[in-house]
Amino acid sequence: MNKMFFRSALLLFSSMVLFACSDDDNNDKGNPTQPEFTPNGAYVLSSGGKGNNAATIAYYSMDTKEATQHVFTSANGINLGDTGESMIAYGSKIYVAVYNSGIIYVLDNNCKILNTIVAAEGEDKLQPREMDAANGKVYVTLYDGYLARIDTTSMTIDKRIAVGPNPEGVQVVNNKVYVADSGGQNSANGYNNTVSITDLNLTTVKTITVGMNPQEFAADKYNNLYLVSRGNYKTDDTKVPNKLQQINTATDEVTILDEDRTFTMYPNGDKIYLINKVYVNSLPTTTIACYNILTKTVTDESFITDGTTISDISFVETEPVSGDIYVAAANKKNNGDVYIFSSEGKFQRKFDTGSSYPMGIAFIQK
Amino acid sequence: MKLLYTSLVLFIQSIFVGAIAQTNDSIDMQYIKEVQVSTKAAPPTVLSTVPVQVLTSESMDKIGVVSVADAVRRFSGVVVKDFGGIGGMKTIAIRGVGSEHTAVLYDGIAVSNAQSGQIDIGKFSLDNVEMLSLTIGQSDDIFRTARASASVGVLNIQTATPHFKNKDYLARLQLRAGSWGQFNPYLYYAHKLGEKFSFSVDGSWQRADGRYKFERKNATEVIKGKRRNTDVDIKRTELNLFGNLSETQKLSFKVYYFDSERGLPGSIVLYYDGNKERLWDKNFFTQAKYVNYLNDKFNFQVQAKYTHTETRYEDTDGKYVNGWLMNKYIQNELYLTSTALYNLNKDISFSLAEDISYATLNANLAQFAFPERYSSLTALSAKYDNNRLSIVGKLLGTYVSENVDYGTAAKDKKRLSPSLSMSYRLLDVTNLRVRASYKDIFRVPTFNDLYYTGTGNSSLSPEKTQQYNLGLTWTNSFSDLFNYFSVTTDIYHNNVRDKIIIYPSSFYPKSVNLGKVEINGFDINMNARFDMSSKVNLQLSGNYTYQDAIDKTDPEDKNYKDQIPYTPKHSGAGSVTLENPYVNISYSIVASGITYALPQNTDMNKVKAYTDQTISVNKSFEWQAIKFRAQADISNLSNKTYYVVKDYPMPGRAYRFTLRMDF
Repeated sequence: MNKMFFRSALLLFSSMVLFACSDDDNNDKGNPTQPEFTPNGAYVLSSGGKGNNAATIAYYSMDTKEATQHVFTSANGINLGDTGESMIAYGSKIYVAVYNSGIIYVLDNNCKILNTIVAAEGEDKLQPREMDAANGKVYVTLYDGYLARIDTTSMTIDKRIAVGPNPEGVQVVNNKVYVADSGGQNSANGYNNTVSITDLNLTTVKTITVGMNPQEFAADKYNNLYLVSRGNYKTDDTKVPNKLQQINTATDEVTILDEDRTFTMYPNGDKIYLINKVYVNSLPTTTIACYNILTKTVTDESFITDGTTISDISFVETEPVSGDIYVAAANKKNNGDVYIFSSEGKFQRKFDTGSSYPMGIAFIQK
Repeated sequence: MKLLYTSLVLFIQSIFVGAIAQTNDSIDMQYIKEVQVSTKAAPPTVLSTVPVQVLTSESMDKIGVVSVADAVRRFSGVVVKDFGGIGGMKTIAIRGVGSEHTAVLYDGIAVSNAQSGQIDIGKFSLDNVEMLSLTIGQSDDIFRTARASASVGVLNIQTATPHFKNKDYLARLQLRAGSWGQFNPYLYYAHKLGEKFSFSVDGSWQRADGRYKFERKNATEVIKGKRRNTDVDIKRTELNLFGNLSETQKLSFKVYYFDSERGLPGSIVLYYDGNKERLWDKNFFTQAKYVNYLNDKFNFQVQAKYTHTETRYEDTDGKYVNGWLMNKYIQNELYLTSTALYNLNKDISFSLAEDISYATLNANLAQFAFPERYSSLTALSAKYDNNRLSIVGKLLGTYVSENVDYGTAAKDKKRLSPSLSMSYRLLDVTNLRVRASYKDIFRVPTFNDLYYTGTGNSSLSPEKTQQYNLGLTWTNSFSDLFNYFSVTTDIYHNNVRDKIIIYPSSFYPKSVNLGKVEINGFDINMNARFDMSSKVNLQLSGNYTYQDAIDKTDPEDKNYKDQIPYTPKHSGAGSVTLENPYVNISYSIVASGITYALPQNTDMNKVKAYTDQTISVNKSFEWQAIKFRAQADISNLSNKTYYVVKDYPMPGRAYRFTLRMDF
């Protein structure tokens, strides 16, 4: 999920290019050049925790350096729902998956609802998790074992295909859609260990074997795909550690790069920061390591250079023009925070996200 | 807090002024004796060294109480966390301390739940209940089990013992019906078996579809809906055998069986309403008690209990393997307890109680720990009691040892917990007493805390609490008309350390000892009775609770010094009952201030204040040696949806009719 918002910004840019020359069918991810638009704001989605109906979106203005909470509610007069799961900006629209409410919102740049996507009468609940976009389509994983495709013009699901159990992360790269089949509802039997790969039209699926409990993808500028499998979260002798893996998008071969240091990834240039989370004295503690994709080595380097400590980092994104680093952090069941660091890793400021568990950030230009 | 003290002082002054004015007018001051007015063997609420509150079946009948939970929420200092409806779970938290610290005794023997540590009082029926009593802190009764001393407070559910008058049987048939398809027949039969023995058997069936309407605000809109998947089907039966073996020896034996199926409506989820979760509960227990009042000096009792509990949970959803999830948990517990009481003289007594128990938990989960727990509790008590002063001291020793089949077992736990309480009558001329108490107690982590797949953490320490209470109690009879008045008021301070919470991290959740809570509060309870004639009387009761229960875990936290979840700062209850030869009528109200659903006191987490008002009317009459009692209740008069737990709406206005026949 991590990388998704960075990519979303790029996609936003790319889609503008697409609108300009709509026949251009190139995959827009492999070429992360600086976007031509300059983001002046960021939406931040918070989950709110299950059963609280407390999902919310905050808006951070880069011009005023001020955050406004609950902008979705202000814009629409209703609340988002229960458990905000993920958010991407693509084209001129923002897509928000609210998992437990079974709803995907399509919003405009001001957070106004353009359409809501829910299960049709008589159908099972829509269970949206993560999203990625390419070629005028948004791909979304559905927790009951599907990958669905949203047409960005009609703003409806135009196709779906069965993938593995409890899919989480999704990534379009090299004209293929990769889906992490986590098996999160089968923890008692060792989760699941496959990635489903399908084409952009969702016609056939093949699976490859990866580490236990695959969760999130990221792609680098060389079209390499990285995958985090989170293992079984255990600390005793039955522990299966988390794994950083690389998938060759031409051959779909899987290579293990590192173990036990990656809960979530933050790619930045030629580096992938490996963010791990463990409990130390009953408190969550975040550790940061760095995988250099050129030297293929892991060092202790952090993207935070001024000694700021954040105990429970949820995800990290780069604002694509300034290079500022946005670090989202959870605070127990309390409201989350976003810390903004300069591209050199110096703390600038932070703001409250308005609800618990920040889940996604989308950079936009208003 | 300052305001609180001032108002307390003012209040006490005003009582005194009133009392002096009254007593000056009356030459023959009618001090009532320092005994409980009730004819039942209720714990003395005014004499007690710690706060005790009692509701008898008679008073519950009068005010139209519908369930054990509905009764308990009328006590002061208590929050009943109610998930709404007949099938919704209901647990009791005392004075800002978590509900795992509240023990529930059923006829004096603890009801246990080693799995979650919480007793769902929604599962008990009021049908055969004679009395409910809630003791906060250490009970004055030292002739009881050690387990009864091992918690912050105790709810005792006392069932009826048959009293035969001029025939050797008693029978009762009761039919109850009400809103949302409620139907609840109850049958009771008791029989005398010679001079020494008697038995009673009863059974009830309760069913309801429970589909009540609710309203919920969603920003600028209002959602109107009806709860779904709320059906309940509850069957309960109980057999009791009573033996008066001799003048000094008593025996009782009980078999209890409870079987229920219910839908779980879940919380309201915005934009989705299709919960399919279901829950089946089976609970069997049998308990026996033998008491021997050997002589004036020495008494002893032995009790044993075996409990078997099965819980099955099912959900249907495409996200599960094969689209279906079934979790089954089976708990077994064997519990033995004995207590010896020694009266040194008429004022001083000692007791020693020893409880041992063995509990297991099985589940159909892969890699489940299958924990078993051995525990031993030893309580040594001493009591000094004369008319003027009573002092009770207790030392509880706990030893807990656990084994698991899979994973790591928790370390053995040993702990000594002291408590001390006293009550002193200040003046000869009036029944004004001051009381003070201290109790140090803890709870061992539950099996869920320790071993639940995923979140369990076997290295948890116990969650510790300390309770301090200082109170004044006063009872008086002013005249034939103003026959009875009592007031009890207590200020208290509690703290909780090493609070066990599921760390709600954005990554994998885990149970940890993290949390400090400090609670300061005060309770006031008042009861008054006016007898206009031998047949017409007016009874008033009311209470108010102030609780400042704040999180003191970490100054860096956004909820530091915020009020802890589901603990109102202000709450109270009251009732007025008018008894007369025509139709008895009662009005009662329960009120709670705002609470917060989550630790941070934000607007989004706010749960609104509410009141719930009930009107009850009843009439008793006789026809051909059958005693009839007809009762009608209307609960939640204002018909406004309110919430105790966020997004679990409570029912709107509901009607209930009860017809009881005693043969």
